[in-house]
Amino acid sequence: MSAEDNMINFTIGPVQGFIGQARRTRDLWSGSFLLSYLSGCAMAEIRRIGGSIIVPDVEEDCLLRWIEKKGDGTPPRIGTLPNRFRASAEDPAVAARSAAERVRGAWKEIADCVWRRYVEDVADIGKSTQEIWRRQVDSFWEIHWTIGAMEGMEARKNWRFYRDWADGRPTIEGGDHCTIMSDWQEISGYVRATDGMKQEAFWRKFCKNTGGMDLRSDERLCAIALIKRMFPSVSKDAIGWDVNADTWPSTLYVAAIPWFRSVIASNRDVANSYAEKARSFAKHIQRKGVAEQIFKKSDPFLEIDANFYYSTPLKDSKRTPLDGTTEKGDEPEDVRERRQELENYLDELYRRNGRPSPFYAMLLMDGDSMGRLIRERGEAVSRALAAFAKGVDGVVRQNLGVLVYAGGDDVLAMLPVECAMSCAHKLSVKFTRSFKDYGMDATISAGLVFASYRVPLRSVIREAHVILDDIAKDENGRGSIAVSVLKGSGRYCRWVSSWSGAVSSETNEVLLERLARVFREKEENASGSSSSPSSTTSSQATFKEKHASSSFFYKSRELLLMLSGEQQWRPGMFFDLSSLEGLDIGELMLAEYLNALEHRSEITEEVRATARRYVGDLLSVSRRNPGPEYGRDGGEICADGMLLVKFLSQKEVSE
Amino acid sequence: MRYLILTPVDSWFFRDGRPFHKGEATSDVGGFFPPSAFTVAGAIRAHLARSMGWREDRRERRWSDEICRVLGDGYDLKGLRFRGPLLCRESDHGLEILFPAPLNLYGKKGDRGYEMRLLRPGAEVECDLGRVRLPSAEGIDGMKPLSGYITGDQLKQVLRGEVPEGRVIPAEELWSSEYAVGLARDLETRTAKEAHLYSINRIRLERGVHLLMGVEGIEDMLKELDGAVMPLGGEGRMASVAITTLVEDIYGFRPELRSENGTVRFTLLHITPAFLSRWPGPGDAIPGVPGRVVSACIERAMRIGGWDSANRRPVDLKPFIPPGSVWFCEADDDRLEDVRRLSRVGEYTEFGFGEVAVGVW
Repeated sequence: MSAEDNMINFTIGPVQGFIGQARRTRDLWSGSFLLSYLSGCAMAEIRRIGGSIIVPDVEEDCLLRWIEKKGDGTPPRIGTLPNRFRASAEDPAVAARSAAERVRGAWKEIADCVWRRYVEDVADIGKSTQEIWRRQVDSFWEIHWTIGAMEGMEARKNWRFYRDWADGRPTIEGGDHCTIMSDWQEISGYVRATDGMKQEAFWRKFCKNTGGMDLRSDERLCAIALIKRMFPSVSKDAIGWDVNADTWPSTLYVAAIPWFRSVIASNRDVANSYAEKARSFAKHIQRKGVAEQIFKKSDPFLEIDANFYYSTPLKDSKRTPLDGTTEKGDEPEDVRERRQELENYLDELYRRNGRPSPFYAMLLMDGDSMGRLIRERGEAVSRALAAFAKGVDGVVRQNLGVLVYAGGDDVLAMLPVECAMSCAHKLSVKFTRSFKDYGMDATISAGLVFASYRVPLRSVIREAHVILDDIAKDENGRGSIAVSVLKGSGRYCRWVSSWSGAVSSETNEVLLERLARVFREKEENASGSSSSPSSTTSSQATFKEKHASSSFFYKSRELLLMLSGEQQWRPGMFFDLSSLEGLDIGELMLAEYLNALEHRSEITEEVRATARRYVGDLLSVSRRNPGPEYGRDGGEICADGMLLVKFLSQKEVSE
Repeated sequence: MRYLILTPVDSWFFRDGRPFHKGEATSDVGGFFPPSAFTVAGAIRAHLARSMGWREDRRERRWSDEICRVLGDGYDLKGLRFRGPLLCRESDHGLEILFPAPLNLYGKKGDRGYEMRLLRPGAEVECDLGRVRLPSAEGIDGMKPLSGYITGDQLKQVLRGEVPEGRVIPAEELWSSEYAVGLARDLETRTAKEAHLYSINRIRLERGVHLLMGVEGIEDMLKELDGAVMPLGGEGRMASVAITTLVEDIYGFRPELRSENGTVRFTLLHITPAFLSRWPGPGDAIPGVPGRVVSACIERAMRIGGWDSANRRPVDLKPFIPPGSVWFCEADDDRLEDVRRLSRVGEYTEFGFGEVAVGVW
């Protein structure tokens, strides 16, 4: 009997089907945390019956200690345990079965808590609500385990079959579907087209039970989405500690973090009195604890609903209802006047500090070829991962971001736009160093999405997964970062590079961010003040005199398209110009750049030299920079590098 | 059987299961392609019904008895039979049919193109399913299932148990997804109407790429379809139709199945989605298929539903086995001929579901 015979490979899914189907950041966090918690329950069970966890290294894991009721201090609120792990036990099959049972039990406990607190009382006016609830709760999780080598688990994933299926196949879901998880029926059981009134009555009563803030009026959810949504408020009963998830910031809040810092630094009193005024007009908008998590302090300005920092939502009475605003958004004269007062106040803040960005960043990272490394180096990988995971929250915080999940080799975080690429790079350096310390070479890849707050959260998460797996890892190779910009109107650009191509070897800066900063600083210097939007018009005029207009970026894209002979540009497409003999693309782009300057500025030698440098840098970030396993020569060019610089350099970008 | 070549006039929209109600803001809906056979067969039948005098207004939702006699009603197709839909593209050799890449085809892209392997049942592993031969292969470290499409020649190689030559065609080379925003305008204020804003993902096929749907049982009505332009999928977006006859029977290829020690080993590769009332586990039989399942490469279920316009309610979302899925089976060799004849499994096969190709392992 070999040591492998005692090994258990354990996994819980569906990961994306559970986490990614989210409408609010709280759903996203809740999904990540719950999955991590359930995995922890399986680990705790294996340890309880004398087994041990081999990968990951859980000895110092706070979440597992709390699950095992050995935790002290602040209870955990970030998931730190991965959904798959490797363990050993004397009778591995018995231990694995027991672990799977414990997961089902823990999930049922959480589901029952949500049922008792929020659903039971409403179920009698639903149509087969209890039946739908049971069906979905019982059949959701896919728990796989194999005994022996890790390859067995890889093979098991090929066959999505479960002995536990009640009907011998996945469930049939009738009626109307969940507005978040579309494969599942919403639990009222009514069909809107024929029983719309009954359906509405069900959800209205449900909202009354929850206090009205947890569910939007157009949300009709399945059991799984409801458990994710309501879990934070039952966590004390369901898992034994309070997860404090009401302090979870929205995407809009994360987008505004750099702006908050500048407002508090320069106009704290004005900002706080705006918040006091807003709170006196709308009592429900206080978000206590959010700022404490991010800034470690709690000015009133930092603790209101993020919609109140942005002028468009503030004009929308349904999105930012004040006391006296009806459900339909109608407002009597005095409420309208109050709203106008708030708008004026916010305008004053904008005049002093500029506007907050409507874009935030979603960062997803995942170690490369971890399976192979674990097979080869086993416990050393566990220790390296544990060392890496310990520092992730700190790096994200330093970059003003919020960590959603960090377990094993996975990271999920939300960040303000201007810090996101640097944060990703610092994490990749930390990852490589952690492995170096244990004598291994390892890389991590990143998918980074810059998204307007208008883009649905699930689209953002889906894009992050696609660019990480398909664009960064598959297409570009190990140790790559892929970046996508999603505006309200769709995908604006998509760029990919290896870390070595993305970072300056001399200064260790992310090249795109450096370029963007140069372009932005030029603009700010030209205006004489970085925070004086009142001089925007004159600043733009001065800027235009020194810089090529933004049409340069678009013209360059069209030029590359024409030279390549392609018909239509798509975000992320690379142009192969190798067949065009004698073409010096650098000179051509330089001419385009100077041409764009010509109407505004005299082309002196100094201007020409600066332009040459910019164009050289822009081309450098636009060339193919593949991972180490691809030996391509980097001849292809992608126009999106330039578009990304343009996006990052703009202080105010259209949503 | 004749085949309809369906080409989008502009782009198409096939929605997923997300609720899409008038008067509610809905975002990011769509992403289902190729469309289900119910959708394509429904569009063809609706077009034929219109040619027989049916008017699609609210008063006349149901078809007349005469139309039902020819085209059936709901799930009853009378004499109609469909195959597909499949994707095809124009090539130097004419119309090339594309098949979903089998899930047991693993690969990775390296410096010199693709390196691929075919999985087959490996040694027994103890797992949550019992002691089971799970699909595996030597040297697949760093490889993953290759999603996309393969040509007919590549399909034949796979069915013979050979690694296909060339590469898998990624979906991005065949179609792209377009994000589109729609709204209703208030005619008085000319602003966007409250809760009538929606965003969807439309499908735009690359030039020369089409959908292919086989149809039989209405030979005398084919003239109504040839050259027609008809709505297909959501938003009333249109498809132009051309009729063709395929020279080669696309599903007819059978590799040489051999019997060893009284047992014949074969694979079933799903070409179109299949609905099985029970999904077989290790050692079970697939309904209508001789022998038993040894192993399988099966993805998570794809849930297919739709909208029942006659009764104004959503159709149940049913779990289908996704195309590309592969069963590894064994049967007694006296059933060899029955295995050779297999071409469809499960329910709704007359719509085009459950098409399978038989291979060896």
